Amino acid sequence: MSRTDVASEGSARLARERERVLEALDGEALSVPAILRRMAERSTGGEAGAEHGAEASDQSLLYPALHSLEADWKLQARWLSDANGVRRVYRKRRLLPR
Amino acid sequence: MIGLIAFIGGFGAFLIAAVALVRRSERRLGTGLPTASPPARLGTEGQAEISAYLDRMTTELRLPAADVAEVRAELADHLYDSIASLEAEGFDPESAVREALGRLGPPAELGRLLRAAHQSTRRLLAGAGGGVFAAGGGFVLGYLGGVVLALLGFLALLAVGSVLALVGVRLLDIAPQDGGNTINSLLYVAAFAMAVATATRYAVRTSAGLSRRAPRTVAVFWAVAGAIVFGWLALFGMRGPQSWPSVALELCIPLVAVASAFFRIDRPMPHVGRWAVIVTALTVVVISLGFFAVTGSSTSVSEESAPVLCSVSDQSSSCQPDFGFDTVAPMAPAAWLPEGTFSGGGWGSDPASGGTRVNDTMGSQGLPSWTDLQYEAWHALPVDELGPGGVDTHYSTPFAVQPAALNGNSLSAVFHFERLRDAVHWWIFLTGVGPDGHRYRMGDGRGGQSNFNGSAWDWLTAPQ
Repeated sequence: MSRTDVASEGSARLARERERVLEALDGEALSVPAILRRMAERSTGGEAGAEHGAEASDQSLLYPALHSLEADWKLQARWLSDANGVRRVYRKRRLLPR
Repeated sequence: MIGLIAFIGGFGAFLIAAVALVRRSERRLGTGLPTASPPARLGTEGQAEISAYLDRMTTELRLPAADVAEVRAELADHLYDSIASLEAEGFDPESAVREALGRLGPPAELGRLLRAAHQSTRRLLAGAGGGVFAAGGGFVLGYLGGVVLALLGFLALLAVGSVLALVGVRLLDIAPQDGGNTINSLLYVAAFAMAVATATRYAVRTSAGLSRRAPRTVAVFWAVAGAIVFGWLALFGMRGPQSWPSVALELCIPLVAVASAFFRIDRPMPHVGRWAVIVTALTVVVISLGFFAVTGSSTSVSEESAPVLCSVSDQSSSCQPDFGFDTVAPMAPAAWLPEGTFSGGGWGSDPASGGTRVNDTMGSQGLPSWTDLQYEAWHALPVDELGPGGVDTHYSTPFAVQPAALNGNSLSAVFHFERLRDAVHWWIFLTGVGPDGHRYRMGDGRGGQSNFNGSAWDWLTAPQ
């Protein structure tokens, strides 16, 4: 496999992860643990649950996907403090406030 | 009036927007969030493992400090949560740490992916655009600041002059006798250098913050761009008074751009508070009003306001002292220039070319027996308490000659003293070859003062 093939495979995986993150967020402001839970629920609930379940333990693309979506103005992130301390939450960016 | 208000309002809004953009972008270059402290249950080994992972990941990030701190804080938070979950699932602490780190993948790869995510093309374009915008605002603010500093420097020079006068040393005797041209040009280039430095730093800091790159990374681009753009502007674009010291400094403007792009660029910009701006603006207004009130009535350095000492038809007593006119040529015999040969004349700025137009109006009889009529510009002595002025007899030839163009009954020529380096004080004569074949001057001419007005390139290539 050439270096170009590896790069394009990496880009495709990142693009899939971005789609999964966007599906998981679905208009809500969620922290990363909540996003992971939502993604796991969607994976196990779907027809290809077993396949996605194998990916659930691989979080290597989660933060690159979140941060690239934020850089592309598709997500907005902010730090919120709760009982567990300060936590970063993500939500889909909207043109107009709800 | 409405247009003026709109212009000032728009200009003020532009400056405020530029400063706000710089400040907002600079927040990314600050220290950012502190990383959360690890939970107490984590052993020293686990903490060290997490810390080493984050350190390795950080080396690949190469983002501004605030972004690095945020990413580290977020990942540390995530790891502590993951470890707690894994421990709840039955993992022992050491295995939980290894499993949590393993799920995030190799730290170097994660760092590279996060860097690519942050340094997107969109942010790069935003950084470039924001940098140009901030540079525009920085140039104006820097120029205003430079003017203030230059005025303060000038006031300091006046204070030194006053002190020296007490001990019998006149600063005016030391200063170059060029109608204030050297001092004006130095003030001008000092303000310009300040503007260049501020604009370049604004551009670097803003584009670094917006494009999520370290300031030194983007400084290379802005140093080259600043050196080319501001170097070109200094050499060809900025027109005004010039002198050899100011031209030498203008040639160093590219170095100013490069130095200001790199020198202590990681440190925040020294932002000026609102009251400092108001007080400085008021000080400049008061100083300027006081300066013009004291000197405006007695000093004139512009061409238009320079005194005309004598004219062709002027026979007043002020023309009686020996002005050295015979250095130019002997006066034409009265028989060859009967009364009424010239009925008027003078000089002034030529709107079309920006030069100095000199003209004489002839009477109805004209000058039938004269040939080769031309205007000659001679170096002149300044009119001050040391002497009456007149032609500088150290010179035996004119420094500029223009043929007298005949248009109807009017003779005229245009001189470009503003493009000559040393044509500060001058005297122009109309001369011609008389019936006997010798050249004569046809009157006592007229004198004035001009300062060089052009770019540094014009100065370097001036025909003298």
